[in-house]
Amino acid sequence: MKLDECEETVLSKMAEMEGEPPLISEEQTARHLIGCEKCRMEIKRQQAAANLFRGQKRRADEVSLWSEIEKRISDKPIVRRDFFLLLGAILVIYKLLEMIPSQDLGFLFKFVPIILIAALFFFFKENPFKINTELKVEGELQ
Amino acid sequence: MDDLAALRNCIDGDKESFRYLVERYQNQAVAHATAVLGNREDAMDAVQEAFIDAYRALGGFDFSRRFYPWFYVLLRNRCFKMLASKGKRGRVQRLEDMEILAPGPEVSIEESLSLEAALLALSPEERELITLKYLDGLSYQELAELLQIPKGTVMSRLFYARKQLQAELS
Repeated sequence: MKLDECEETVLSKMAEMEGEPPLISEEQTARHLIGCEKCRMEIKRQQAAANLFRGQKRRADEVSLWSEIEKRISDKPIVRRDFFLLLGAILVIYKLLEMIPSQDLGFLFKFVPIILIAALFFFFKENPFKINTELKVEGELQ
Repeated sequence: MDDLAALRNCIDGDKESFRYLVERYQNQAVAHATAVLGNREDAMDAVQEAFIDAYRALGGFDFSRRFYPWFYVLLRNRCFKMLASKGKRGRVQRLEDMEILAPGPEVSIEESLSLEAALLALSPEERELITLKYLDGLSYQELAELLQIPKGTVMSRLFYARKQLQAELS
């Protein structure tokens, strides 16, 4: 992030006021603020905005979501990372076997990957390769 | 039971351990999702979906991390997806409902109402950041970890969020 001197000073002063390590030294900040009325005003405004939250708390009601979640997870398997490693290893072994020129494994051998994919569909109870078109980049919401 | 032990038990198929995690974090998660979505009902749906996402993804959990920051990423995704699909940004809430703030005894109701209205007028990202900072008191480092952005970005986004908040109030 490239900051100009004013931004750097304001961010640094705010960090200091909030108990965080400042971006620049106190002397640098003081030197800039002496000659910059705009930054002095901005710091006051920023501090006032932060002070609005004094005495405010986040509303946190008691909720109970477990019964609904329990129903929904009863048929959902946990997808373990080693499951994908195993699947990858099986597919690599399959490919190596298929590449042996002297080996004639027959027509039915060609169906092995299809059977594996069908088993995946069954295991996940949904299409694991489905592309979710609803996903949006955060910035697109603006 | 601690979170990591519960997570290990969950992966071994113990659903009661997942219940422990849900019950431990559900209130906090709903409060956080409410700040993003602007209303509690949608927040509860988002949290429910996020816990189901979390359950399915437990197999890939990195045990060097803490549970809630990991879960929060899933929750944020659910919230922003919900905002995108519903095309709303939490600005339609009735003020008298006070979904985000719970004013303490030393603050007037009017002040809280106007702050809540100003918060609802911010973008969901600004509202999320500013409430995590000033209602939960998270440090810049904790915010960076939770939102998965650099610390410098946290500082500058906070700067613009405070500026926007002041503008909404004036």
